Amino acid sequence: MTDDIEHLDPAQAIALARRSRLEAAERGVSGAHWYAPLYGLCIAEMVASMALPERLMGWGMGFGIGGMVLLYAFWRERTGLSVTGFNGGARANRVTLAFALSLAVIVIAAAALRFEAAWWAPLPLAVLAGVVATVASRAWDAAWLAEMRRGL
Amino acid sequence: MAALQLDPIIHAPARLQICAILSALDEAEFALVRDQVGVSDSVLSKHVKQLEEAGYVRVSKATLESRQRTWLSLTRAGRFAFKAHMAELARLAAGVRLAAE
Repeated sequence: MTDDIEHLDPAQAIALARRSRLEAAERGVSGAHWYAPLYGLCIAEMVASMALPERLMGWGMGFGIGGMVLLYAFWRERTGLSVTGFNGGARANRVTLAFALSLAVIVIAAAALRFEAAWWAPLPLAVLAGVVATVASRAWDAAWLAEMRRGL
Repeated sequence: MAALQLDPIIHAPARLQICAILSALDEAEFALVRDQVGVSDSVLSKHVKQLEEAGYVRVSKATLESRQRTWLSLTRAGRFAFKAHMAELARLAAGVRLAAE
């Protein structure tokens, strides 16, 4: 690798920077297809824990949050990358926001139904939350890669 | 005069690649950056040191299972400088295209 700046004209420098950025992002996404379903599982577990007796609900939530923290730490160690929800560019930010709003609606509905209707009501909503989280995680990856491809 | 606006710290190919990779991420592990840039540990260390001294890159070390790993990230100043550098490159590239037409 040369350090001679004379060897790079502006167009070459831009192409090199774009390629490096995209390759790093692709590396983070391509080797981690397991991430989205496991993330969805953690979210589903958290929503499902709302069906537990009240004294156990906090433990159930904590278990799901702990799972997400461990999952992210594992992905980070495995890929050598770290990028979080609101740092993936404008498109990825929109996915994060849409997911956060969807999850908030599901959690509020699960809580309302749990206490006003039936204890098991959070369970089907947990399945829905898991699917939404899995799809959102994949959509976030796609949006992030699109941002990287779009260039600098 | 326009060339004076390019950041000489960033413009070297390896450092440009390092900044480009880190601009897409919160942090990247040293080994990943080394592999992506295609240089040795010592060469990457030299470039990272230059970027760190310019205040563009932050270096942090973490130990996991008795193995030390080094993580790199762009500072706020580094993100700003890289963005400005890329904008200047784009302006110069457009000028070259216009001159060729």
